[in-house]
Amino acid sequence: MTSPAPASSAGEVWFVHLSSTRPQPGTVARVGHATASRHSVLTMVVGEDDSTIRALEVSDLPPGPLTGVALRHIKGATVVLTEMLALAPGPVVLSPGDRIAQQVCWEVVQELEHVVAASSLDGALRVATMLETTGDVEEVLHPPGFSVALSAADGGVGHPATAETLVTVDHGPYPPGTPWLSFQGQALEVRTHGMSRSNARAVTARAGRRRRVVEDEPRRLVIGPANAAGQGGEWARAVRDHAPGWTARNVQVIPPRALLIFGSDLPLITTEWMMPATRLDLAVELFAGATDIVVEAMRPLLAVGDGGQRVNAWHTARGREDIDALRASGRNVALLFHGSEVRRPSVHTRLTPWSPFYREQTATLSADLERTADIVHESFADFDGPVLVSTPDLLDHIPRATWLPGVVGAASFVPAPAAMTRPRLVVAHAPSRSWLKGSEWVDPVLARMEERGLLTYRRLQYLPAIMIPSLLREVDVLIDQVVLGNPGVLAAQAMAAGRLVLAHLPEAVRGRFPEPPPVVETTPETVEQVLLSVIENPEHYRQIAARGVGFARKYHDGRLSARVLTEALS
Amino acid sequence: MTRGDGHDVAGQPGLHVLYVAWGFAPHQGPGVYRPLATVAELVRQGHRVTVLTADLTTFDLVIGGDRSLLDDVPEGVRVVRVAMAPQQRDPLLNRWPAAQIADPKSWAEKAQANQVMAFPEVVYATWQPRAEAAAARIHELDPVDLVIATGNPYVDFTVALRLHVDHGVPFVLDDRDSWLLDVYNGNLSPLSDRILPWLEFALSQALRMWFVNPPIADWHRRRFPQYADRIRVVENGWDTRFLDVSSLPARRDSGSGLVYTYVGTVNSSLPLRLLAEAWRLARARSPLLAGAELRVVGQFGHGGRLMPDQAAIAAEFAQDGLILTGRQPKHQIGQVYADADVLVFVKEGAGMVTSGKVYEYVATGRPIVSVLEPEHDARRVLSGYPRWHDAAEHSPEGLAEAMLAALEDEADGEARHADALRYGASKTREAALRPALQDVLSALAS
Repeated sequence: MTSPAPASSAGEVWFVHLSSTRPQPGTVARVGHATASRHSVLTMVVGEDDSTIRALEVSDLPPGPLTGVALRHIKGATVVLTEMLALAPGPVVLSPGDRIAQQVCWEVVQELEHVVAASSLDGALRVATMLETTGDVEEVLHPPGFSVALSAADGGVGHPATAETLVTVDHGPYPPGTPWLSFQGQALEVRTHGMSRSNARAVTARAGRRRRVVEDEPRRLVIGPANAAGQGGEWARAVRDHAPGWTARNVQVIPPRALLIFGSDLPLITTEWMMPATRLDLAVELFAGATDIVVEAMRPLLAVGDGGQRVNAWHTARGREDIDALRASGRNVALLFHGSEVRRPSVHTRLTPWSPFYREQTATLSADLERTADIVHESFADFDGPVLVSTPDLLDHIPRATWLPGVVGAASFVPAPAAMTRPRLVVAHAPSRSWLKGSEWVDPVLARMEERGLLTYRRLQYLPAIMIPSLLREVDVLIDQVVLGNPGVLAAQAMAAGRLVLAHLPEAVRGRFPEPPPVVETTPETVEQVLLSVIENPEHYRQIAARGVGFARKYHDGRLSARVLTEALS
Repeated sequence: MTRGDGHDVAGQPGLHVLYVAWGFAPHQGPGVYRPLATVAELVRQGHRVTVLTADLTTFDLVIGGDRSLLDDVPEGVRVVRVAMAPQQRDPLLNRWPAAQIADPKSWAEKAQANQVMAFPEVVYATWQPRAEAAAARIHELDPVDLVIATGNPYVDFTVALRLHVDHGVPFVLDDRDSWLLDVYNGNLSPLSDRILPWLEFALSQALRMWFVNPPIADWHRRRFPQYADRIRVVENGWDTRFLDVSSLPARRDSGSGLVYTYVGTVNSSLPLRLLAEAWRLARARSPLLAGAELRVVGQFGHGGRLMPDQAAIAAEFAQDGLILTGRQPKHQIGQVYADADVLVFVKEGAGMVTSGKVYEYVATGRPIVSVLEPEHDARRVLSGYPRWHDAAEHSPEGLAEAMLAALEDEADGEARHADALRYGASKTREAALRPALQDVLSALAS
């Protein structure tokens, strides 16, 4: 037996508070003030048979102690409440008063689409107020997602969001294996088959004409999703600043527990990106209007092959599916690799005697990296479009690739006092992954030299990116890496700041630069010797450091990168 | 100094100021009023202001808000709202996965552990990349000349740092609490190891850093002497737009019993029992207080609810005229003061705590009763007020005596009323903000 559902008109909100114990008078009073046309304060009571469950209004509760529902009654209570609320002609707001009621409410909303359940009375009161304003359950449950472009446009900054992308949902039938998301020109087709009920509902709520901000350059580039060392964002900015007729944005899918954040045009946290509705928003905001795409590290941008919420944001096969779908839609696609994902350790060991791979303590890590690199190489072996690499050493691993120089932001070029003019040398080493940079050789040497009073050692880890330019201005020498042989972004930043860079760059790598890079060759064997030489001949090394500024400006201020990128896609 | 678009700002009005406040209107917490006042003052001075804040859904649904506060955003101010992912604070069960409803606590802990860890702040750190991206977009479309960011939450500060490092935009940080310290006990915050490098970097780059009282500012000057030159005190004050003191009668219209009023948040640290017991004692000692009320006006805790022990005190002392009203919309705060004969000021903390409410109290000209720790910084504000009645000791007895002293003042204090109002008039927000902003503009021009 249940209490009868109060009659209400379509569109009128029915506010229902549910508890497993007798409600407090204060609670009843608060429910009475909810923004709704109908109010019920129900208590779930179990009969003597321990199975009959009733949901009673306060006035119908028997005096004395109540036999409230327990965990074992959740299913039965759900049936009772679902039957009651199914009859409501308008939206229902459920307000659970305790943990058991919360679980019952959760079960109910799995069944009834016109019911919104909050986790508490406070939340439910807010939902009721919102429903009064919007009148639409879907608007409360599925508000527009995060969009940098729309945030600015709707705030009155820049162009208004006058462009539209048509999103159609489940206009099937579709053959098996059809991607959940596909492009039809600038329109998007979505299939919810295989999605969870809540994800399908969230995606369906986005059907229709979705607003976006128009980018009016003829070529519209999107880079993503890795943004390693912030380079995706920097390349996009470089294209915007230096390539007439082009605009560019990057998207980054940020890993969980990320300790470092880099500038990005559209940053998404992985768990958010995994939601198909978020990926659909991303497709609307960036990809519908794009003409050109640069896919970083073979990672998926939209994962059109997987509409589930457990999609792997690092899955190479998902990345390849996206590439094929984007090319099939008529968009230009280039691939871009940053380092470890394509650097084959077995190849690397033949390139330098200082290779960190397949040493006694790195054998397992090396084998893991080898497997990853093999999978990545295999995934683009038949790709016939442009391939880019961010450092010239990677050409040993992808000979057909083009070097796309890393970009150093304006902050790194802020003039700093000349290096090596203070009484005691300040040397920095800031490895992201110390075993790949040779820190095991650098650290003891530097510690010893500091103990002897020869220099000051600044060992840095997880330094926020925005602090790096000013940190570099405070040091004389940066030891980038002494084993890997790659000229990375940090080295370029140090050069831009006029600091002396020590690193291991094999002759083959040095020869790939149009001019010799002002980087002092340093290996595990020579760290101490080079530093002693710097201390003894500061003027000589000061000149090398000073040459770094011009070198960085020539190759790393974004102009060259914009040219390489746009030429590759042209 | 050059503007965001490369032009010299020296002596030029009409800067484009980006004001960063996660908790801007319709956020209804006490921290919203200083941002509203700062934005209004910037507009009054002729600057273009763009506010970067959280999305409306966060306030409407997740933490609660007061949409009437949107009316206090000056016309012409652009508000860019950047969605905050609700994550473990999502109040909609419809969106909870099965694992969350099965074990909400464990799910929340896992979600917390998986959040972006780059910025040392619980919950709000997830806003960092989004807010920075939006700020970069704003600067790209309409170059920003100056950023003013206010904390807490301190994630707001990263936006200022990002635009400064990437584009050279000068910035002011307005620390309304303390990023590094627990101001209630003077200890370093639990995240201080991670905050310190950020704070030191921020100070090294900031044009100015504002603190709300001299003790906090002095602590930072001592801790960071190399940056002492850019640290300023910008006190809170009372808002003339919310409180029209000219409409307050010198004495409340009589006709009912006297009304003593406490205005402020009713959180767990408010000594409600002390207040109630003092009130009972005072009522017992003066027949003039027969039928009098002690009204406690303010938001209950963070969730809008009384805690069980507070509800019990309210019930126990209801017969003594103790009434807890809950939050009053800020626009009705003038009526709360108009309906009061005597104000009661209670605030936890000591030397680093002033409270924003004390400025409003001294604006009213009403007698003020207080019970405070000996070193409490609110004494600095109250000490010039001619109708201040401080409890001699931190006890119900001491507070009751102060309540009785205020009773006499209420009866014969008309002569002191004008002096009290005059003193209060010097404590407006504008009085603090105008010279502070002038100082910023001078620094920009130099």
